[in-house]
Amino acid sequence: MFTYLAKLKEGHKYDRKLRLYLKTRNVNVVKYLKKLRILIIESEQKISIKNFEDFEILEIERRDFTI
Amino acid sequence: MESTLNQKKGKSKNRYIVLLDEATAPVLKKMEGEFQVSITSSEKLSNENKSYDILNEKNSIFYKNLNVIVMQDVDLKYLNRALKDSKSPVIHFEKERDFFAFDEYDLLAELKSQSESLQEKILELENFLRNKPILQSPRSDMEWGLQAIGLDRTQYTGKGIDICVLDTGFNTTHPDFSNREIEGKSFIPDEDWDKDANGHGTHCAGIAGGNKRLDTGRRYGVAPESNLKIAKVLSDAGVGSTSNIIDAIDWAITKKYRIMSLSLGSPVGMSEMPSVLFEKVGEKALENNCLIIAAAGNDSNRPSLPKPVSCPANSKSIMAVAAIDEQLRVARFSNAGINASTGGNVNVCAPGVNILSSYSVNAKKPNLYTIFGGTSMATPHVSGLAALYMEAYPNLRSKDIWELLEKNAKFILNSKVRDIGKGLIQAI
Repeated sequence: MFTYLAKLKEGHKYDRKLRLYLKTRNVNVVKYLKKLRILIIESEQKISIKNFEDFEILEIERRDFTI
Repeated sequence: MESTLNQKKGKSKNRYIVLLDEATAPVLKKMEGEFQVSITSSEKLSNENKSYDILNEKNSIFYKNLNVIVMQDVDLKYLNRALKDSKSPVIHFEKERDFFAFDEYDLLAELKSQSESLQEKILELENFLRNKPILQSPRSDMEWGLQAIGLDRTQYTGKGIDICVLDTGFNTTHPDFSNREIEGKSFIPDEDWDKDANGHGTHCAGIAGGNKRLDTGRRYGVAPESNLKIAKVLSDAGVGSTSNIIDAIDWAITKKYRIMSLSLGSPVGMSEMPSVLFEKVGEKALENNCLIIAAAGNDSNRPSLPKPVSCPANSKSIMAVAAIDEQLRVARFSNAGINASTGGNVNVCAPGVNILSSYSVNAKKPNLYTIFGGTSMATPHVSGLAALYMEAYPNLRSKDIWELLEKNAKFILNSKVRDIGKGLIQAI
């Protein structure tokens, strides 16, 4: 499973239409961070940024933070 | 300069110029008796009878037009006594000075030699400052880090300002915080925010928003009247991931917290671009009047080439904090702004070596207090101080507070901008 952090593009909303769209692409939304307008999403396959017009992939969740 | 030039030109004789307010014949007669000298009037001087031929310890010269007597090898105690005596005609005296014309090349040589000696003095002073402990007389009621940032001269306490500490959690049973209302949330599955089995979070929160030790009364917290908010984004093992952290940042922005303190990081490679994600997250936080302050990272092993500032501190929209020790030297481990092409600079520095603060009884080595070192410790010093600034300037936006913290920071002599940014933060 790959986890991605994706930011909604300007003028786009996290709404039913987008949720449905993601579902058809087998992408699971873990959480929508409203203030940051960032989606934490999971997919069993690697996601190409070209597949989505509503948001841009900012980062693949691969970074570990430590004290 | 005058004394040096005098030495160069030769030592002057022991002569005094004495100014009188009255110089009648009886007055001069009286002075001859008091000083046991013979006073010759300048009227009697001629080509054959020059002043320097006459002048000696027994003969003085009186200049009638000036009301001045020049005396040689006179006993100073007589002159001082005369000056104090209201009945004496002596109103002023001074030692003879040497005067001579300056030759430009002489002057240049003199200035050069003086600048060399000044340079030596500067180097000497620099060495002294570098090696001396910052605190000449350490106060027993305050940790060194607090004194170094000037908390002993401020009236502010961070009253009413929300500081959110994103870390391993916080041990809410700590006796120093028994009267504090602390809100928190865990972003780590199956681990509570209010236990802190690691201890790192309790230590950092204690520096930012703690107060004094209950046992000794010694203060270790920067903003004792701030409101501490805890976000557990690192597991008890001290590890977390991007989504934990941005989830917590989103929560803190929603709650309208003014400051987020991130004593955490992920190392980056040389020339690695800062995270676009954290760049946007930092911008969004600033838009929402929230300042994110993060540790520069502890990956360096000085004096060899230091490592670059870690993520997320390397984002331009997030304030990066380096660590210094009690001698105001950059800490051996503190990362530097060496990714010049991609940003990732240090913004300020703060105390981060030998720092005492609260600790968790739930940690592996349970204790109420412990001493840690790291940019993790420097970061909450800045977060706490930001709260003091926000209390002092309630109308300023977080971005302005950041600028003010940098503007008031004190640059440390012999340091590099890449290591300490604008310098050591200072209280207002």
